[in-house]
Amino acid sequence: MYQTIKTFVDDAANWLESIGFILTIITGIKVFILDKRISDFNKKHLFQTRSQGHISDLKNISKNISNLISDFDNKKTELKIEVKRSEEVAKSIKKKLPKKDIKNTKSLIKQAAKIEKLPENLANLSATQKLLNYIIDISEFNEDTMNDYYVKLSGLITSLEELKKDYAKSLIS
Amino acid sequence: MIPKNKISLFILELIKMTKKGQISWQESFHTPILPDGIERLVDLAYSTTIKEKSFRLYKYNTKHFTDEYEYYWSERIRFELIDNDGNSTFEFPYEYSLNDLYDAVRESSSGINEFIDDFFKL
Repeated sequence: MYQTIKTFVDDAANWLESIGFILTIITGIKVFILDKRISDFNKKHLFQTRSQGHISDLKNISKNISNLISDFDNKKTELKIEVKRSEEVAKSIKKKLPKKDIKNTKSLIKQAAKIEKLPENLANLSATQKLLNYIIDISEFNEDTMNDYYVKLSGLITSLEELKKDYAKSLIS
Repeated sequence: MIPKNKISLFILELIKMTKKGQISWQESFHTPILPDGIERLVDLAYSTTIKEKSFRLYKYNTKHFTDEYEYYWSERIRFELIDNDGNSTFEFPYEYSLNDLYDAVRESSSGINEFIDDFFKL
């Protein structure tokens, strides 16, 4: 009789231990998901409260670029400064966005970094730099590159404005 | 469907041409007809003709409802292709660069640059 009860208690303990283990795993997964949701919520909230200034900065930069780009050949330096400014703003915005929404911002930062490395005029480069450019095939900073950058910047501003509206809705509901 | 990038580059080209004075914009002869109570025109509507196609550009306010009786107005720019009677035959998808185009058009059609140049010649 004692043996039967002991076996029953042992079996029950083993089962409960297994169930406990499974529950721990499920709870762990739920906490992980919840943590991610909280992190997303925090970022969305941060974006909602802090992004307006950044978006306004990007709008100003877009306006400046649209003014300068019609005289591209004489305004290369000024355009590069605007690209650098927009890169800094985009980096700041990236920190406030949830991972799933950073694609456009990331792409603009990447493009800006590329533009900053492009020489304004190949003819002005030293012989070593010319040789290096020839080997790694870097083109000159040209109008097409700047056109693409402006289009990307405009797309980013449009998408950030849409995100702001979407976040406002999702934070209310 | 027209690729988005193609439209974006077209808008950018219009900005450049407007800045360089290669295309001129006038106050639109046909005022856009907007849905009553939902949208309202802000300032003037502008139009231009390029290669026998007429385009119209204007700023408008649009109403967004947050509840049954609660709403707010937001500002947008619309750019469209129009026929001879001013009917919209194609609306370009909205993107932020339209704001830059609108600013360039307003500046060029106001003639403010020429005025300031003349003023300094006095």
